[in-house]
Amino acid sequence: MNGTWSDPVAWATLAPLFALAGALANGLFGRRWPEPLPGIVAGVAVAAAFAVSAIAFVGLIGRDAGVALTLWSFLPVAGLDVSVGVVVDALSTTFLLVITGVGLLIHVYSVDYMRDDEDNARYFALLNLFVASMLVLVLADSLVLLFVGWEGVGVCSYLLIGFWFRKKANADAGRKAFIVNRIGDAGFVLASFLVAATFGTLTIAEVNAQAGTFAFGAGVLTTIGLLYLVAATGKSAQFPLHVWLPDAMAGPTPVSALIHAATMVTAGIYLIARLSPLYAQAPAASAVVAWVGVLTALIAAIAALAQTDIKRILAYSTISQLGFMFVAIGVGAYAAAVFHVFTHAFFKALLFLAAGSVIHALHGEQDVRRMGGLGRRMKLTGTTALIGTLAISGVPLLSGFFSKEAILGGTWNSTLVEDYGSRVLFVLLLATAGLTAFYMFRWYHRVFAGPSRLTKDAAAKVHESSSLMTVPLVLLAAFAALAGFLGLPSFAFPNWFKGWLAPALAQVPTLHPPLWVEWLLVLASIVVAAAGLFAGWWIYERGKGAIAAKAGGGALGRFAEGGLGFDAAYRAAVVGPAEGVAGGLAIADRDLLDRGIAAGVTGSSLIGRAVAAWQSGYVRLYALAMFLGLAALAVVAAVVGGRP
Amino acid sequence: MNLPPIMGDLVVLVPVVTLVVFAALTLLFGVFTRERAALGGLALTGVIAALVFTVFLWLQARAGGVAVTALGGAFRGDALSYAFSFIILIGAGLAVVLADGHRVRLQLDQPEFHPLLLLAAAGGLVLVSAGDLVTLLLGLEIMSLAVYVLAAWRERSRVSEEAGMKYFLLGAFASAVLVYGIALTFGATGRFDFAGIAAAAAAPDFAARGLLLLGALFVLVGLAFKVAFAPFHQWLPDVYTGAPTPVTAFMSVVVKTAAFGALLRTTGTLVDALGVGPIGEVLPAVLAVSIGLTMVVGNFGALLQSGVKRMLAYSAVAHAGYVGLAVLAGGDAGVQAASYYLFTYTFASVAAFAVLLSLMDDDDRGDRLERLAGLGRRRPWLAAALAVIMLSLAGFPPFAGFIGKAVVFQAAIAAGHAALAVLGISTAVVAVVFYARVVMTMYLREPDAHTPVARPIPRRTAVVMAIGLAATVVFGLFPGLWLDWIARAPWWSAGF
Repeated sequence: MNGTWSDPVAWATLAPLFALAGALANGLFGRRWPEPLPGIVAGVAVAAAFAVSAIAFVGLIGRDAGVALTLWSFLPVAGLDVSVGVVVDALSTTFLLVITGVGLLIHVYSVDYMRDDEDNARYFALLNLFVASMLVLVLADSLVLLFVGWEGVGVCSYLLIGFWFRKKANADAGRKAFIVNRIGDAGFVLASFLVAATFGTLTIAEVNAQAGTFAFGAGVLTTIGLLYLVAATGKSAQFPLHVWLPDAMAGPTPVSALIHAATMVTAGIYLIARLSPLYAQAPAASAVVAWVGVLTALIAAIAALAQTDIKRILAYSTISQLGFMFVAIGVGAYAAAVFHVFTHAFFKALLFLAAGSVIHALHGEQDVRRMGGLGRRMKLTGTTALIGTLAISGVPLLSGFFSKEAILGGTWNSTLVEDYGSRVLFVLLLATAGLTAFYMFRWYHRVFAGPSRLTKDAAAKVHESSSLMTVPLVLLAAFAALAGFLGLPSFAFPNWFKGWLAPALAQVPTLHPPLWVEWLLVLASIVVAAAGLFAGWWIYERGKGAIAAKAGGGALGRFAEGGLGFDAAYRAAVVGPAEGVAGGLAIADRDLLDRGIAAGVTGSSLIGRAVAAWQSGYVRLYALAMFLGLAALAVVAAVVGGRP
Repeated sequence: MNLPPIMGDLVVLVPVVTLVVFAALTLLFGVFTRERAALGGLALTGVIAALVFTVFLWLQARAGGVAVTALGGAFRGDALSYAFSFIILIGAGLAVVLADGHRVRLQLDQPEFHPLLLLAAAGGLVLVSAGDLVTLLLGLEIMSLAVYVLAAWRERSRVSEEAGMKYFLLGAFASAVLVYGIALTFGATGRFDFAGIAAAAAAPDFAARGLLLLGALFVLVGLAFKVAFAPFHQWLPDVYTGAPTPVTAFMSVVVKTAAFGALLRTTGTLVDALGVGPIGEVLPAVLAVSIGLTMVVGNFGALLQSGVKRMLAYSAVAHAGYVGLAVLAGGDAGVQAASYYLFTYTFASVAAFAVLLSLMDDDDRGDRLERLAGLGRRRPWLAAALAVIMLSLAGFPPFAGFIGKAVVFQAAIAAGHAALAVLGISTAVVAVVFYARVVMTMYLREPDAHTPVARPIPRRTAVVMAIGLAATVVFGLFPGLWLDWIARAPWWSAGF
């Protein structure tokens, strides 16, 4: 599948370069440009990346194999050829389209959202760099290059979450994201070492090919799988490393949309999907992936119930939905996982951008307790948000319904983790789906429906956002509503999406229960979605939220609001001791290093002082040093050379 | 044996002759014109002409696949001499352009300045192309004498005069040692030429191995002085600091590359000639100790400097230690690694001095770190350029400095010097501190009342910076451009 540049599919290689060029242009010159130009340049860069991705997509339809292109050999390390190359196949192209497509809409939206920010150029430069890193990540043909993108994504998220760094909370949130991600990165590096030692290569295609020759369930594959899982839990905000994502909304809202929908958090899913032939051989590791996913989905859904910040609810919902994807990828339903990435990108970007539109209209208000009834004043935002809410809740015929159904069905029918409680996974996941519908209804109702709880001042200023912001909403809403038809339930209908991805993913055999069971599964997911929505309606519309208020005030409510105590636990168990150690180190640093380096007078930098003392400035002493060196050599020569 | 015609041989000398002719032209031209700016252009033309001839000869030699010799083997055209000549001429060209932009301001514009630069470069070419020890000495002296004068160039500057004087005195000492070493080697083998030395030592009845070792050690010391291996490095921080900054830039690339070219050839021959056994182990062991010491001294010395110029001087010592790893590794891999390191270091070093020079005062002073405070905001381009160069010198990927370190460490490990490579990696961590301090000062420290206003940068200096920066990035991302190119023809150590 070696490609050449004459093949249009290979042009997708240029996608990251376009985004990078945009980042460079904005970073170097953007500050001197007049107002909308930085946004336009950034948008054009992503649009160009989208264009080549679309060309690759069209070119790949009906083709089995993707295109691999080795660009150049970076560093021939002994026995391990580290080259820079790309793979453009169904999997990477799907991600390319999502990243650049959704990314483009977010860029357009940002032009207006960030209009008044003085650091406009920095914002767009970072946004482009973020997209570029993610594109490198999904195009990489080797784990080394993938790691370059992986780290690039991490750095950009740090810089964007802390974009308004003058406020300490924002800078802290950026740091938190970065530090938690470092834990995942350690897993990535360890796993890659193990891969290099086991397979003698870091090229993904070769690793996958060789993984097939190992015994099913071989220990080393399980270890590699688990280490990459650590990496993925960091990047994709999975239990127990999910804590950074709720804080990550400290950045500008379009950044949240980008992180949650198109870039960053899907990187973990991508990594495992890319290595699916390896995971398909490691059922134990896969089971851990699935269980991590279901726990995350459940925990985050519970936490989402009690949040009061318009973006924090969505953040927990992302964690929960990522949990769904992890389950899918753990049970071997790889196509279903990618399909959920695909549909989730639309409705989650939509929900975040709608939230941004609301925040914009309310001049920074983010507390849902001081919102309500906004749908009447912001018709377009309200309507599109409703579509997003229903889609994520799994209302039939909207996109979320199909992708969630595919995951639930895949879990029930899994052979890969059949021995690891696939049916329990199914039940827990189904319950989470119900919770999803409930908390999302609450979100929509608190913001857009019911009586207005706005202050008079705020209420007077509410306005629908400009068309630059609403057009992306409408487009995303259209996709959120319709994208699901690409992946109809495969037991009864043609599933285009699954067929499209089939050449790029491992195929794991599934159970084939009677047709009525399959339909029953579909019915179950419809019923839980309906139940969740109905419960939401019952509590918040009919009961005016009285029950919820009572529950939320209790200890349990506060526990959920605090994200089930993870932050508090980490603060006590990790951050506290770490700060103690760091404090000690800081003292050591001040007393030992800094003084020694800065002054060279005191402290421990003895070698440096010796060198400085030696450097007297006198020629005679230098000559003496040379003479002594020479004399020593002469003695050595006399002793050694004098012997026969 | 089928000897090529004598004129075909002499073609190898064309780059050197070109430089000398242009040196003379520039000197004569300086008598008749007051238009000093033209001299720089003439000098640059000479360097470029020599570069073109070198590339032409290199390509021809690659096509032929054999080393060419001239003057009865005294002068060689092989992969080592062409690659290092190429690097020397690139460095010389960049340094000439850099000097030209600040010539008037720093009062360097006497008409003899450029001819000396060209002669020094010509000496460098002779040094790396020498086929015997006498030619090597000749090249070394041609180069050194010119550079002694250049280091003392600034009139009425005590530091500059001190630098020239120090360099000359200690250099004379080192040359004396080198000559003594050559004499001893001749005494042991009866030959001056590398091929003859190797042949004589390989003879079964060769008895003077002990004497050859003494000679080899003295030759090594003479060259170790030029490349600044500890403990023969002490002149370097003082001379680099005191010499006019454009001259320092020139020395850090041309002199260093030329000396390493000679060192690689000499150690390669002598280590082989000394053979295995206790005597044969001495030279590599001495070299290893010296290199280890060099890396430590250079990096820890740089740690304490508050002047950027002096910091770069110590860092030059440290980098000599890293290239030393490649010398120690020897063989084709060692020579290739060293050539990559010096090739990319040439760009980084000249660019670093170019940035520094644009910030220094007209009296060639003012290199204190504090002057860089807030440069990131005041001069974003300049700061970004210096930041990239510093990160590259510190060995951060994806810049060329990273690959350079990777290839020399790899060569050292492959040759069985893992412990020294570990020491190199450890000292490289120390190096991060002082390089990062420059970057942090530029971006994190607020300027105060003492921070000078940066002057406009001469266009020629900007060009040097841009070339250095581009090469640092491009050869970092695509190291194969150089590594594959030089690795393709396996005739490095062929046919001494």
